[in-house]
Parts: sequence; C-alpha cells; structure tokens
Amino acid sequence: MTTTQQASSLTGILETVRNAEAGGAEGLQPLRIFILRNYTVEGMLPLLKFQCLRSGLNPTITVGDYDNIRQEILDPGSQLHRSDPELIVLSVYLEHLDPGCIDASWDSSSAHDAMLSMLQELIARTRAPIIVNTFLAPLHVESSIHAARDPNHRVARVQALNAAIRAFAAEHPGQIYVVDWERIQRVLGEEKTIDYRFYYMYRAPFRKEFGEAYSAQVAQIARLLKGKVRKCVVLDADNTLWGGVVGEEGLDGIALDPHAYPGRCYHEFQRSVLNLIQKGVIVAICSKNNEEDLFEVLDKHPHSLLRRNHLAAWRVNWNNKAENIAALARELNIGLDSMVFVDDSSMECQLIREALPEVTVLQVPAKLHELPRLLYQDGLFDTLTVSAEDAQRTAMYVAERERNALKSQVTNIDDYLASLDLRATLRRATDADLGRVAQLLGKTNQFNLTTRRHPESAVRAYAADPNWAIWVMEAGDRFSDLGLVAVMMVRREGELGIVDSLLMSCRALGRRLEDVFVDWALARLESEWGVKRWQAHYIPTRKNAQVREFWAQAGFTTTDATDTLTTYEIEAAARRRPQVSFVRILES
Amino acid sequence: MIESKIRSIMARVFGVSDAEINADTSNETLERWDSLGHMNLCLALEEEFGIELEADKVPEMTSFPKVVAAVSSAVQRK
Repeated sequence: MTTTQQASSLTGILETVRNAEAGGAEGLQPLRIFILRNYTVEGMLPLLKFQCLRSGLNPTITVGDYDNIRQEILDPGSQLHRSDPELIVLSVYLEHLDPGCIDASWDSSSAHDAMLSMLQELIARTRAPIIVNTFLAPLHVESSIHAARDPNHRVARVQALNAAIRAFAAEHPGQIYVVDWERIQRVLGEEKTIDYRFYYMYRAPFRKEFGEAYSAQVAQIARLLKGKVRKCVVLDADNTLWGGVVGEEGLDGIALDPHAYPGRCYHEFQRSVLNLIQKGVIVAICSKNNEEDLFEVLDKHPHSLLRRNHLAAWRVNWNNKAENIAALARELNIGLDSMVFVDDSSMECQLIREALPEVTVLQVPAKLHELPRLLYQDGLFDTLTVSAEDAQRTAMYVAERERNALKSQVTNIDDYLASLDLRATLRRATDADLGRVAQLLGKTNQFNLTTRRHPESAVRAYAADPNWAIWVMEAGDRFSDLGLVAVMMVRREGELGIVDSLLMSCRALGRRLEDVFVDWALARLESEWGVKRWQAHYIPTRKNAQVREFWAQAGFTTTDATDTLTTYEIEAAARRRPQVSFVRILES
Repeated sequence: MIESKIRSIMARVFGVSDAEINADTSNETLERWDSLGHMNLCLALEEEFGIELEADKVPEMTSFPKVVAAVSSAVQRK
C-alpha cells in the first residue's frame, strides 16, 4: 500500500513492541495517549504502538473502560483525567453507540446528539488534543436500489453524521483532529476493513489492514503534535527530476515532455514538488553532476517546472551524498529528521539510510507511473496548521542567499546588519496570530529555551488569561518580510514574572532581533504588570544547545541548575538594556 | 513441517522460546495466551499460512495440538 513502509507481519510487530516495552525505545520521545472507546480496541494497540515507534515516539497507551466514554469524560477523578494524557483518541463504533443504526427505520438524531455532546463535554474538561473518527457507512443494506437514491436512507444519514463531526472539528481547529474511517475503508475495500468473526466473538470489528491505516494516521498526528515536522525535500536530479542523464544526453535528450511518456511522469513529479513549495516545504538538490549542466535544465528547459528560484539550497558536485546532505541541513538550519531524500539509485538510498538514519529516504519507484504521487504518500509532509508564512518560505531562503552575497562584500558584521535595513514589529499576540504561535511552539527546535509544545487550545486559553501575556515579533529587511518569527509567553505570580516559553524561527537568527524582542517585551510588562523580578528557564534538548547561555548573556543569574532544567533570575531594576542601533522598532 | 512453523509463530506471538511450545502447551500454561493473545495468534496464523480459520474452530483452539489440527484442516481446504 505504501512506499515508505514495508508491510510488517503481525509476529514481527508484536516482537518489536515487546522489545520497546522492555526498554528498547529509550531515546524516543515519550507520549501519553488515552483511548476512549466503545468497542474492543486491544487488538489494535500493538499496531498503534508500532506506528508510534516508527514515528520516533515511545507511547504509553491507556485504554478507558469498555463502552464507558461518557462517565470517563464527566468524572474528574476518572482514569482519563488522572492519567493526564497528551493526546486523547476518541474511538467510537457507530453500531455500539446506537445499535438502532442497523434498522431500516433508524433515526440518527440520538447518535448525532450523543456524539456531539461527548465532544462538547470533552473539550470543556481537557486541553489535550483529541482525535475523533468518522463513522463507517453500513456495509450491508437491505435494498441497494433504495439506498442509492433515498436521501433519508441510513447510508445518507451516516454521511450527514460524519459531516457534523467534521464541522465540529473545523470549529475547534487547534484541538480536534479527524481520522476519516470512511476514507480508509474506501481505500482498503470492505474485505480488509471488518472481520465479522471477531466482531461477533469479541466485539473487535477491525482487520489488521484497517487497524494499521488508522494507527498510522493517529501516529502521524501525534508526531506533528510533538513538533516532528518534515520541512525539506532533497532531490537527486538525473532520473529523478527528469529521465536520463543530462551530462550525457544533453538538454534535448532528457525526458521531461508532458506530452510524451515517460516525460510526463517526471513533469508531473515536478508539479508535486511545486505544490509542496506552496505548502511551505523547502526544496534542495543533491546531485552528482556538473553544476552548469544541471542549471541549464532548470534555467532553460522549456518543460522544467522547477526553476533555480525554487531552490533553498543545493549541492551539485561529486562528493559523498551523506556529507552533502549533512551540509545542507547545516546551511538550511534544519534537523536531519525533518528531511526527505529522493534518489533513483538504490546504492545512494542505502548509503543515506545507513549514514543518516534520521533522514526519510524514498527511492524513485521502478514503476515510473508511481513517481508523480511519491511525495503525497503517507502524509509525509502533512502539517497540523497552515499559516500565511508557509507559502513564502522558499522566497525567504532565496532572499537569504542574496543577503549572504551582500555579506561577502561587506567586511564588518555591524556594517552588514546596518545595510540590511532591519525592522521589527513587536506586539501582544492577537487572535489572528495564535495559529502561527501554536505552529511555532510545535515545531521550533533550535532557538527554543523550554521547548514546551503547548497545543493551540492551550495557547488560546493563555491568551485570554489576565495572568499570561503572549508577545510576538514580525521582522523584515530590505530583501524580504520574514513574517511572524518570534514568540514569548510570560506568566505572573504577584510581582514575579516567569518566562514560560521563548522561541525564534531559525530564519531570523544572527541579527540580534531576539535581544531587541526580549528586552522590549520585558520592559512592557515591567510597566504594565509592575514586575519586580524575572525568572526564566532553560530546558536542554538534543537540538537547542545554541541557546544554553541565552539568559546568562542577558545578565540573568543562575539560581538552580540540574541536567534537565536551569533556572535564572534577575531584579527588573538591574536588567541591562541591549544597545542595538540597526533594528528599527515598530510597535503596535 | 506445519507443526514446526506453527511452533515458531506461537513462540513469537507469546514471546517465549520454541522449546516452550509442546504437546502440553495450552491457554492455561502460557501467561500471554489470554483472549487478546488468542486473537493475535489466530490472525498471525492466518497471515503466515494465507488461510482463513473457520469461526467455529477459533474458540476450540486452546492447546498446541488443537491449533495444529485446526491449521492443518484449513491448509487442506485452501
């Protein structure tokens, strides 16, 4: 079914999960999941654990009592609330929610009300993200002739119920996510969805194939909630972006013509790359080629959709590709685990899998007609939210290249920064900013002092809380607008101000914008809230070593330090104001 | 032949060594052979042998010999 995953046998899955539970998953990111359910999900748990492990997560899964969802939600002392889950899976099987749904005369309003009140009650009692499912349309209908045309038939009613679930989720974008069971069933077919034997024996309706697809989507959402977003696709060129070897066959010899086979496969693959750029994915090329030959295609080939300006970076040389990809990660300031590498050579693919196991590796399929959808599979580049900044991302990297060209002409760094004509707009986050704030909290790894992944629902609650303040910074220079790049979340306890979160997108690094932002926001709260003393923290992760000394450099004193948390404090009156003359501050 | 393959599948499903699966092995003797383990066992056998067990046989497969008998008859029907 998929290209990035090989099918795994159930015995293999059970063994992998047992190894992980015996301590083999240390180093993966822990995640507490709670499943509210009204059918037997136990058989699917190994599948869900397996998919989580594959996504770099080490899950602890707690399952609520059988068909006891409402009580679990309403009782504040229930297992659900005591286990303090980071993710709740509300897994509801329609036949058990409303047994009447198999009757021809079924009235769906009670199922509708039960489902929506469960969701309402749940979001009123938890800030944890929730994954809900759509219902499966009845597989067997007493009369397909009537089912096909009757708008009140229970097939149509299930679809209306699903529309109501989707609509509710759309109204709560930061908290409720939907896994579409109906779509999984459509893709797999009836045969691979339900096992009636185990449904009637054990109330366990789903076959392994369905359980795997469902689990994969839950794990996918969990991965994104933990900030593991894929940001960059690294492409080989010959026999990946076009057919043939441009260095040998020349500009006219390669296959890229949308009106002929196999050119149209490559052409459509390039189109999928452009669609990803629109979504905010950045593109790099890593090819063993002569740079002139490669750019002749991108600059001059009439059918090449991909052009030089679509590239965030490239390594076109004869070096080892593992070294090239590692260098690209450094240049683009992104983690290897956020990169996807595509190459036609099984040798290169194997090299990267071994040398850089964090990188997701896709080989150009032998069946060329599968190439155009290669990058769309398995929700590889899925994101939880989409922001206005996403579509601009590539342009920002192109502007960064131009900045670097300028930098190489200027010898003094302050002259360079002054020549950029930097501007920063500083303000309290508005409602419209909160989606982007949650997105940055969810994915920023490097310049992130505490890496607290507050979900959007929590961010919205803090924004409305008078004891919290969320500050944001938009930045720009003469080359481009960088968009909303920094977030600081502060809470107060009397006259003590505590910096809960401070982060900045890596695209804004190296301009001292962070100093301007922090100083300005703290000064505002000193006057608005009367803060007399500040407290801030550094929580180390594998990726944020670069900000280890941030608070010390800002003049704060260490008051407590362990391996997992350093606490800093400073008297507001003793705070040094940074002198940064080259940033124009616009307040709003 | 079938017997040794079943032994290895059961050992992997229940997380024990092949040697622990013998004529005396039943759902009374293996800790992980509960109702969930039983379902996993049936699914793993079906997957590995490419068979579909008869629904009526499923609850009866409570020991290694009974599992071998049920799988053998399903393989013959294939």
